[in-house]
Amino acid sequence: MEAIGKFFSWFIGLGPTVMMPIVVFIIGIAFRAGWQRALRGGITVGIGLAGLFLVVDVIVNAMKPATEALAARLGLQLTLVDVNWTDCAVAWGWPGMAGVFVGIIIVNAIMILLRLTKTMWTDVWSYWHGQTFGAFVWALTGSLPLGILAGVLFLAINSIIADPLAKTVAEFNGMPGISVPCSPSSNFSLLSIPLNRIVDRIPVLKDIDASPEAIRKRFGIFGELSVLGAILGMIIGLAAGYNLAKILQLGMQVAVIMVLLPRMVGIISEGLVPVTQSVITFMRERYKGREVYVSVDCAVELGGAGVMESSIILYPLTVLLAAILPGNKLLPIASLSEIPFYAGAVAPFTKGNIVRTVLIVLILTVPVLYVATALAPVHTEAYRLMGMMTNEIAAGAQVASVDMGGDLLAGILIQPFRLFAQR
Amino acid sequence: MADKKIIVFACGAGINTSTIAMELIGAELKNRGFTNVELVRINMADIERWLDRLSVLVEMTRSPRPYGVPTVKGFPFLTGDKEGQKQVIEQIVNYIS
Repeated sequence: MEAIGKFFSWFIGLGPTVMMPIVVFIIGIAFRAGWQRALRGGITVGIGLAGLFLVVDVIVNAMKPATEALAARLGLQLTLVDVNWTDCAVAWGWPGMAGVFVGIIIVNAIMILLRLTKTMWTDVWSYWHGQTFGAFVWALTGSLPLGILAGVLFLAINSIIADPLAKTVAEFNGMPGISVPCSPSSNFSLLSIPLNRIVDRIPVLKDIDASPEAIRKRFGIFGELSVLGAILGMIIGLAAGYNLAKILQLGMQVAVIMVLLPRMVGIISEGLVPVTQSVITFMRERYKGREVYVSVDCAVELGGAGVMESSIILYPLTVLLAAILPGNKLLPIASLSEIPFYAGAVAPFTKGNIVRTVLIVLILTVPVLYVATALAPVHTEAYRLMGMMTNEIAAGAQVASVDMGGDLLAGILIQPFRLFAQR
Repeated sequence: MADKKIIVFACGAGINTSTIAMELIGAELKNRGFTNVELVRINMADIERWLDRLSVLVEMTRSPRPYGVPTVKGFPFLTGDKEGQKQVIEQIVNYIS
């Protein structure tokens, strides 16, 4: 028993970039992806993780001093470092990864057989949302089994939330038979239904919309994340009281973050493709003849009518909202790349109405920012356990993000686990 | 040497769905002996800068408007629909050969 324990702590001690290739390789073999594809996939995941660790350094070096200077100058409390999808490194690198992976496939199978859900969890990539939540609970309680349980529970609840939304989402995006269970998209879709009903009762507001063509023509360039990042970086530098050289440098650094962060995350996803394909084939054969939805990544919602235009309007509004919201400590910059996902989740339920989509996303971003602020200590502990940003965290830095750090379901579901918190 | 054919895979964030389709379609094209192809995955918001260079656009999410370039929908690669995948490959082969 002791020897097994020793082996596991040695194995985890190898660090995510060594441990995960091995874990992904084993999962690949188990799901019959073939040893060559499993090996290549495993190594690719390790490379993606290593790439993300590099981007974290850029984020910390550029954004931490900038937001601190900005906050000090304007008297704001925006002390958290926005790490956005760097959370994927926690998700695919934490020691409970394989547990949540296998766990949700088994639990999802049982739920489909018992007709508790129609959504097949075929979208392996999006397990990362549950993985991150599991890692948060692991950081909170110090217990790996509780973390794995939390991660599986999170994804199981996601699939139940997605069921009643599936038809509308599928129709709006022209993809019959799909479902988008991943959080925070499913939460945003669900909550946009009552909010849209409320807008229906407000005179004037209920009848207006914006012209997508006009927005695209005039501001389309700001929808490109590289351009958006450069401009936002320069504005922040200006507001932080930087000199011209530093303003220009910060602009480029933010552009780098905006472009490289998703690229690195993409490499992890590339490594998971063989496993993903095996899981899809496995599930489709298993549940033939049943009425089931195939779950797909929330990215398919981004092409919906009005989504890109709504996002362009939302970028500056979100930053302003974060700056004036009392008690909020996160200034979302890297996290702005999550905005189109929010708009994509809401748009099917506003029928692509831009004014409504913008309004509903803004309203829902308020609790998101509070959740991100509240979860920051747990979030930071997860990073510390992963050996990420060790020096900065020791010096008192705290991290947060909009996507999983501010996920509304995570904000609620973590409460019962606080009973098991360490210390 | 003939010009390289560029196949652009566009999804919402240029992260996951475009990657899945690119990996699978790339492997199949290689099998069929198409070596002079370049595969690019992008964010749909960045599509404009590729329009005059691409041979085929593989949409993983709806494009904001029709672009008048050869376009196929890559959704079957997300849902695991094998029949649909074959059709997509045939369409792409038609455009690049």
